[in-house]
Amino acid sequence: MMKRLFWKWLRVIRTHPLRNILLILTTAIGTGALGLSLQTTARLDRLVEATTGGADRRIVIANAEIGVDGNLSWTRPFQFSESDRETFTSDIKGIKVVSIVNQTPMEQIQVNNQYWKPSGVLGTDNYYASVMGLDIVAGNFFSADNVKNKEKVMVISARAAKTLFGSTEAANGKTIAVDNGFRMFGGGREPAGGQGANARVQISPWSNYTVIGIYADPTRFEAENYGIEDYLVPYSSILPAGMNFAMPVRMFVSRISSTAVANIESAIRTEMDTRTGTKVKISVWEGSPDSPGVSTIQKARQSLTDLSLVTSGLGFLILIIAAFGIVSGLLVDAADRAKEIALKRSIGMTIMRGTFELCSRSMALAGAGGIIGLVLATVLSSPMQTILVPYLDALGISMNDLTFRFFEVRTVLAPVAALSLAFVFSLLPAARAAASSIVNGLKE
Amino acid sequence: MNAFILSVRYIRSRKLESSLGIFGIVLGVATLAGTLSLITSYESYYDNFSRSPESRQIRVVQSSRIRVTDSAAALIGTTEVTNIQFTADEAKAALALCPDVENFYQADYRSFNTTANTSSSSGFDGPGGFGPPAPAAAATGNARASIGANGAPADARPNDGMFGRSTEVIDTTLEKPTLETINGAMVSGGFFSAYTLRAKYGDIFSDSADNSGVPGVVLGASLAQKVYASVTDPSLLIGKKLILNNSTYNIIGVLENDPWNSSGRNITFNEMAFVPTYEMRAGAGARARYRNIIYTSKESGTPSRAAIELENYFNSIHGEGTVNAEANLDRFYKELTKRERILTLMAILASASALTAAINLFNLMTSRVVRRHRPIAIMRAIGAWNMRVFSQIMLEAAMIGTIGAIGGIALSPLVVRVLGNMLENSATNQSIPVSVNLPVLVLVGFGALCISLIFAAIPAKTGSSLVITDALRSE
Repeated sequence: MMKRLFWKWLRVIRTHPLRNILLILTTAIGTGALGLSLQTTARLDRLVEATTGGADRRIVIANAEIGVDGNLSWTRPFQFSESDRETFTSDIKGIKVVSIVNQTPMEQIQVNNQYWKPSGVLGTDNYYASVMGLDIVAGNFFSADNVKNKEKVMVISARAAKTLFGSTEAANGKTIAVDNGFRMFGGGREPAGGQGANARVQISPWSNYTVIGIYADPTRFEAENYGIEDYLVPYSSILPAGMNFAMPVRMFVSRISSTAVANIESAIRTEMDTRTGTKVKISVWEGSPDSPGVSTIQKARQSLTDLSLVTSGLGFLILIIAAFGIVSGLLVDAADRAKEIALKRSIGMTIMRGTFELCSRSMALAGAGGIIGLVLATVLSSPMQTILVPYLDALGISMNDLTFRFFEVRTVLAPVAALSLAFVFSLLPAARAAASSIVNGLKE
Repeated sequence: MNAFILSVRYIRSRKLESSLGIFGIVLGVATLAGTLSLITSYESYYDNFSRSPESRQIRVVQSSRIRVTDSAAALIGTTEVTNIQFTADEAKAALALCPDVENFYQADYRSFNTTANTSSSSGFDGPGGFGPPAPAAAATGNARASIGANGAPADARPNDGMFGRSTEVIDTTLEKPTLETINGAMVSGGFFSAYTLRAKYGDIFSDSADNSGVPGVVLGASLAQKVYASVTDPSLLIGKKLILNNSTYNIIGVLENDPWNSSGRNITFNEMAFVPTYEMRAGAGARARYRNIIYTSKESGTPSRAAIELENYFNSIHGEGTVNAEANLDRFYKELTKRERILTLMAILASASALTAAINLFNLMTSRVVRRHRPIAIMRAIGAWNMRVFSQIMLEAAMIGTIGAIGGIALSPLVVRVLGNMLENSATNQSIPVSVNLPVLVLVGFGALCISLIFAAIPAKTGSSLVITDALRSE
């Protein structure tokens, strides 16, 4: 069967070799372009799917309004409190778990007599791992007691552990000295450098944190879009353990079910307005605490959709143009074979059979082009990713985030599209040619 | 003329075939012209931007204040980094030692609330935050880049600080502006020179003037026209009092409308309000210490070279690798490169579609010549020269190519808009306006016509060199 099909293809191509080879080439270019686009889209879709984690979404709840400049206009004094965490979890429909977050300064860190500039640190509580779905690979995430007692403990990412200590195993239990940047003075009234008991001394900004857990690296895309920092500390740990002062709470992150973000915002606002008796400023958005009001995931999704639409569109466009060429070829073929078709019809061939015969030529060319295009798409996959690096970088996607498979099943859609287009575009002209007058055909 | 009529007749006799060929060229030309037009548009904007004052601004900041993004931590070394604060003397000395630099200033971009008792901040930055304000972050939209990193020194600041409260008595009888929030900046006097901003009414403030007492505010031209509903003549604003972030300011000037000064910025200076920095208001300009400084390179110089000079100068004072200087032009170039990479991919795909269209035309003309063996042989038999037959076929191809090229050029603005929007959506911080470049479109159209003729030449040659007897016998 396959052998017979192959010989038929070869016969079709041999009728007008140059023309047919060019037609196959055009179809191959179109299929290749579409295949490449589908291949890239498949990888990006997989990444977005893995990042968003199915139906659940991760939102930020801030005690602020978003100004026209996109910055947060905070309420002073803050109206959120630690107890709101439980209230939101139990009373707001759709909220699964809530965690307090606070950006915490960390100017430099010291490990084994080496000073490092850390990427970013986040002050949070013991629920953060559940909200972000962090996978702890060594040690534990910090506990409620750690937070309550303002303990200087730290959970770091696997990449931070590897950078600072060589491996995740080696990092657990180690100490990281942290410079929080607060160079305050205390102990006296005299200027710095004074002598004696009243001398004004600088309180060291350095404090030691113990690494108690390491979490598996999320993709860079996920980390950037949800603001997951490499260094997580209890939000209360910035204060000395003995200080009788509660850290103000102004922002939460939460994992919600498929409930609309607007509904969650409305429910929280009602809850807060009722409790405080005032109109509370609330902003809720999906994404990172650093990007107020911007659904970074939504933006990334939109950009990726745009990219895939444009590249797929171009690929499809080339296929359409190639299909025009195939139809032109079919019309010529039909004209050349007008006498033959008329003869066959006079001895009993149906119009449908004639249509199929003419269409099969188009399908043969599209099929050959489709297969070559598929091979091209697979071979050119790597250079395509290289070209896209700066674009993906801008969306917070690193090449390591993308999972590569030698063959993406979705790519098969490209030759299928080539065959379908060839069939659809050829059907009507072929039917018209097959249905043309037998008498006129025999006269040719 | 006869040849032209004959060509039209041939094209019309095979409408479907001809339409498909033309449509293929339309699509190929539209995508290629649109993509190339976009690339040219970006390059032309870059050329324009590189001459604007915005491109010549160079931000000098301590290296360790720049956020680490590509790894979990960047190695500093075996010595602790201490916070660098640039002194006013150092800043001034740089002007003498760096030949490509001509000016320096402070600028802390932020939004001002015109109603009392509120303030705006992003994260821990800006008024109301834990740390000092973040001028560059606000300017670039990259607030993360500078948590507690930028701005002027942590001197006493009226009305600011997380737990700070205004000590100033606000006159609540003042006329309320129509705008609740105004974009603006706290700037030193050098800012106006850097952007060559001049007052149309009143005056701008300078470093040397006495800025104590009720500080002055300078309004952009467009802002001045809409800040109060009751005042439509901007000249009447001078002397009026305005509350910004809980402080009372005296309107001392309205800027000239000059879009060129703001080119490359997401918000133009015409829409902004400018107030003096805290140091100027405290009369502490000479002994001020800065966490970052913005310099302006000379028009005759190169921003990149000026940035290197500044980096070398400050590193020689504070230690190798401790200070970073980056020109706006270099940052813009990175964004441009990113977009051009994507457009290159698009251009490759567009070229593929144009090539496909050309191959289609070749097939179309070949099939036409094959089917017209007999008429061609008759033409030749009654005296038509080879060249006559050749030119007849070429004319037909030229007509198809021309119609396709015109259609493609007409469709290309749509391609420019779609691609431009896509790239704008993925932009990090720089918005780049796009425009349709007519010369590029015409060039691509002309190129399409030439390629049509080249691809039609082989079938035309085949047709014109038919052996008359063979053709007449076989048909």
